[in-house]
Amino acid sequence: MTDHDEAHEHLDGYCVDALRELYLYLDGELTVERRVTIEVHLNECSPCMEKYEFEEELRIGIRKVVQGVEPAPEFRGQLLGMIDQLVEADRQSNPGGG
Amino acid sequence: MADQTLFADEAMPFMNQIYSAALRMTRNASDAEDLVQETYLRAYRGFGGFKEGSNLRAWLYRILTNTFINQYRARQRRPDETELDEQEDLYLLRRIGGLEAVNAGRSAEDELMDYFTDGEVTSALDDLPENFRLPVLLADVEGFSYKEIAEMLDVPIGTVMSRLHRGRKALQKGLYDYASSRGLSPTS
Repeated sequence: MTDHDEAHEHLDGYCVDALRELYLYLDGELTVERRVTIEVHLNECSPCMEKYEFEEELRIGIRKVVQGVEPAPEFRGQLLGMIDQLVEADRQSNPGGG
Repeated sequence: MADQTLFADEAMPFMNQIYSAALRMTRNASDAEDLVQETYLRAYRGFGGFKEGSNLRAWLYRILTNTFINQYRARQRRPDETELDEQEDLYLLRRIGGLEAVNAGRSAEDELMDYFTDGEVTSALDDLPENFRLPVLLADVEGFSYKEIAEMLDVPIGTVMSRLHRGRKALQKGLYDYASSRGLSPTS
C-alpha cells in the first residue's frame, strides 16, 4: 500500500462513489446533481480532492504538450492555396452560380 | 446551407488544432500534413451540407477521424487493434503522487509534468494501439463527449468508455515507464 492509500484512511461510501465517477466527472458526463454531490464531497475530503486534482493536472499537461506542436510555417499557405484553387475551379465550372 | 466561399475563413482557425491531432494519429509530420490537406479537401466539398450554427469543430474532427481511419488504416496490412493488459487504477498517482508531495508547495500541473519531457508524453501516446489512442486523444486532449466520439469512431458509447478506461491506464503506465527508466527525476 502506498502513502496515498494510507492517507485515505476514512474511505467511506461517498469516497467510493467519487472515485468510481472520477473520469465521468472530468469528462463532463455527469448530471448537474451528481457533479454538485461530488464537489460537496471533494471540499470535505482532501484525499479524494488530491486524486481528482492529480488526474485533472495530468490531463491538462498532456493537452498542452499535444497542442503545443505547430505545423511547418509554409503549411498554412499551402493549405490556403489548395482552398483557393478549389474555389477558383468551382467558379469556372459554375460561372453564374454561387 | 453553408457558403463555400466562406469555408477558408471559418475552417482555417481550427487548422493548428486539427494538425496537432493529425500528428498524434499518424505519428509523423509528413503524413499529418497529408491528412490535414485531405481533411480540408473533403470538408470543402462537403461544406454545402454543413448546417450553419452547428458545431464546425466537431464536424471537422469527424471528417479528420474518418479520413484517418479509411486512408491510413487501409494502408496497414493488419489494423492496429491490439488489446491492452489491464492496469491498476490511478497508476501514476500511486507511484509518483508521494514523490510529488515531497515537493509540497508547488501543486500546479507544471510540477507533475516536470517528471516527463514533451517527447516522453508524445511517445507514451504514440505507443498506444490505434483503437485506444484515438478515444484518449479525442476525449482527453480534444474534450469531445462520449457521444461525439462514438459517432466519430462509429462504435457504441460503451466501447468508447471501456477503451478510454484501458487506454488511460496504459498511457499512465507508459509515462511512468519512460520517466522511471531515467530515474524518475523532474526534468527541470
